[in-house]
Amino acid sequence: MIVLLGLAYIIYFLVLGAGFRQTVNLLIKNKWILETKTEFVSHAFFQGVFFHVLLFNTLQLFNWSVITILIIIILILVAAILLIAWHASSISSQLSFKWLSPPTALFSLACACALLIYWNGHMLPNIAWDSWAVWEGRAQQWVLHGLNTDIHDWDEWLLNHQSIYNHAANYPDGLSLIYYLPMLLSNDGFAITYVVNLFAFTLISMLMVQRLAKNNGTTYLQAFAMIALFTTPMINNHLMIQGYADIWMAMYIMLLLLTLVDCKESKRIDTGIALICYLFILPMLKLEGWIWLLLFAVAYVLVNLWQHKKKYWITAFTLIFAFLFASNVINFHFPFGDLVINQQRIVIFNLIDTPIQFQNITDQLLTSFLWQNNWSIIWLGLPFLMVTFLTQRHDQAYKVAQTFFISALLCFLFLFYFTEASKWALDLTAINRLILQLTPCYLFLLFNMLIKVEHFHPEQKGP
Amino acid sequence: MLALAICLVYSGTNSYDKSNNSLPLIPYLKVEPKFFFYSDNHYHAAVPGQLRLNINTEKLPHDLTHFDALIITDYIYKQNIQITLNWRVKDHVYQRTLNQNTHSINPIDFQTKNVDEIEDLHLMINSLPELGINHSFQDQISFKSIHLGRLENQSQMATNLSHWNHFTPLKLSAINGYTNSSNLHLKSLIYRLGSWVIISTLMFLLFKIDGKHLLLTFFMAWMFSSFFFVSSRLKQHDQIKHAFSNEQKLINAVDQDSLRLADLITAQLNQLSKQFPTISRYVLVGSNSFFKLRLKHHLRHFNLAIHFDKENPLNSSRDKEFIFIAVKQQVRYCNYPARFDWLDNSVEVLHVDEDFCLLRKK
Repeated sequence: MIVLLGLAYIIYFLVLGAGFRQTVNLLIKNKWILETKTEFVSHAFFQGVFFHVLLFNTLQLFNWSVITILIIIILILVAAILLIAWHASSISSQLSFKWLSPPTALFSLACACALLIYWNGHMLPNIAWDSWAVWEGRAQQWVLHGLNTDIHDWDEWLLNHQSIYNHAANYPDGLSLIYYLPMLLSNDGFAITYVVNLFAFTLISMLMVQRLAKNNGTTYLQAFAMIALFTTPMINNHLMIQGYADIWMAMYIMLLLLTLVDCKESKRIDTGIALICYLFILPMLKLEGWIWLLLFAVAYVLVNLWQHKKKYWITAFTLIFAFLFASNVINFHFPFGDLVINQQRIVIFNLIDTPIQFQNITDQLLTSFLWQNNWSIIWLGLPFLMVTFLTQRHDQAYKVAQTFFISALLCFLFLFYFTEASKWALDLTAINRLILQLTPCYLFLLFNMLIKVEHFHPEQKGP
Repeated sequence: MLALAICLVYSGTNSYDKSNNSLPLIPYLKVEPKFFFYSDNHYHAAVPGQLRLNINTEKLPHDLTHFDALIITDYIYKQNIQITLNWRVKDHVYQRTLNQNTHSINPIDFQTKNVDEIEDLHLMINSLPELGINHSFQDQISFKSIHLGRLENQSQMATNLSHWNHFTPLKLSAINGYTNSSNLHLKSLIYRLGSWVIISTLMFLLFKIDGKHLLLTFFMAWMFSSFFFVSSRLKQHDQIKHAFSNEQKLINAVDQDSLRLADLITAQLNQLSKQFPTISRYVLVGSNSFFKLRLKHHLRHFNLAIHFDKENPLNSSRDKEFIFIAVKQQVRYCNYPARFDWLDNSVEVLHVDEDFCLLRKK
């Protein structure tokens, strides 16, 4: 029964997402293109999740009863179904269907991996501390006290009589809102969302192998990539023990990079809009989503600047500007916070405000990257990825993806070595989870690099 | 393949001397006979939560520091039971968690060359009730022999497999990492496979071998290490099944306690709500411990906050709009409020019993 309810929740996301895509297509008068089944289903699903979070964030602004909220949801679903049906029938002659089935063997492999994880995970109650206290906990608070009830931490809760308390009230609402609807309608909301989590990751794995296939990766390489994705221990942990937002962050970062490649290839506006959706859901899921969003924007700008004719002038100007900025000659003050980076302090708007102090976390870093489990083997590929990034020619999208990954890696190393965030590295908690967020993206880049290795024959001049 | 074979069976030491004797520990164990007995060719230890097996070091015929391994043969372990070897050297306490597999070979470094410095050597068998409420105090483990020995008398592959096959139980903190950072039993496997992968990559770069061969190498390395990971996961299935049978959603016995207390507090608060209809906010006084946070979780239908500082919430609330909940040891504040200056005779005790009490400002 739980699996069926989980499937119903998946279909809800699919309808929402497909409806959202068709609305966008109608507005921009775009031709409706269904790529492969997997790609259509995947993007519909993940855009459905984005639209759901956005919709419920909006509904939180109004003091409406549960019945009103459910009626609104049903109306939106009906509208989405009618829109899809009407749009499909009215422009059927223009439809560009490429009903390519995903390779059955790979799809079966992904399902088998997901089912094996479900075999263990479905028996677990919510054992993840931050989840029952914060992520799932806030969904339950909304179910009991009303969706529009404000949740505050101690100081604000004392002042605001209508609000309810949560010690992590500043965390974004995204994941809690994914839990909210099934919890509102069923006592098994947590278990239902578990089915959705595994389905989402199965889609991501299929999207990754399809992109590898498009880049000439053989079926064996695709199967290897899929097995690596499912058997990487931290990913596997978060698929078995659900409740944290990190696996969703990992999925959306991966999706972001895959969509960027699609976007550069197809040059379609709707793919660009999908890219923006995936970019903006990151800060809705976790606070560090803002960092990933900013880094992605920086990577995009840097890669574009590097292709500019006057790139050396721009580089020199940027370095001088960075020097003045770090020397406290220039500071930025905005209504939403300051931007200050110098030897004493780092302030990034209202997101980060921390003194700079060195903390040696090398042991913890080595333990996290290397000694814990088999994922250390994949990290041996990191130096090679760095070298090929500099020495080989890549498409612009891959350059952005690699620049994003490397800058994300450098950024979190800086935060853990030089800021108060080091305490989360010393107890091996946040450091492992941050690495997890980047792991699927890294695996994709690594296997993309291995395609060239796979096609190398001794007669060729060099790998 | 040759490189893989060399990497996997490589041993840092090159002597293989069977002449060194081993030291069976059974005759030197001091333990209550009813908890430790011999039958069916095996020794059995009943584990009523925790069982301590002292090792009489004074009667040992050999110098302890001569040995560098503890070996358990035919070990029939339980997923929720863990054995540790513990000792003390110059007031520093050492602990070694023993590998959970049939032939358990555990390297031991006593951290001293002087046998007289080794004190309080004992085996501790612990139940791990961290997950689930179905723990039985009838659990027992069995083994054929337990003895001290030398690693060089063990085959390298057997020693390696003992580490790599070590069962990693699922814990509350498991979401943050697969293995505990203090017990990195896969480290030697990672060294070996990593070496093999690097050798293969260098061969690819230097000798221009076929790319498919290199990829096959990576695949085999991954599958080899994943085998131990997946086999541990399969064993976790039994652990989870045992811990969370009957679809119960309580995390462990502490959680069960907090739910029981939450039910009592709920009943009392519902009664008080008739007496004080305007009060709808509650403060649970205490630390962010697992018990208190789970208690707060079970009381989530109330508008309830938790604050670690008992004095701050009382002083910072300007009116009588809160009811404060004190539990466990904090009940003493309600029993004798006059003894505590910070209460300043300004509180009214609404309810008190042995488990919890309710206060409000006068």
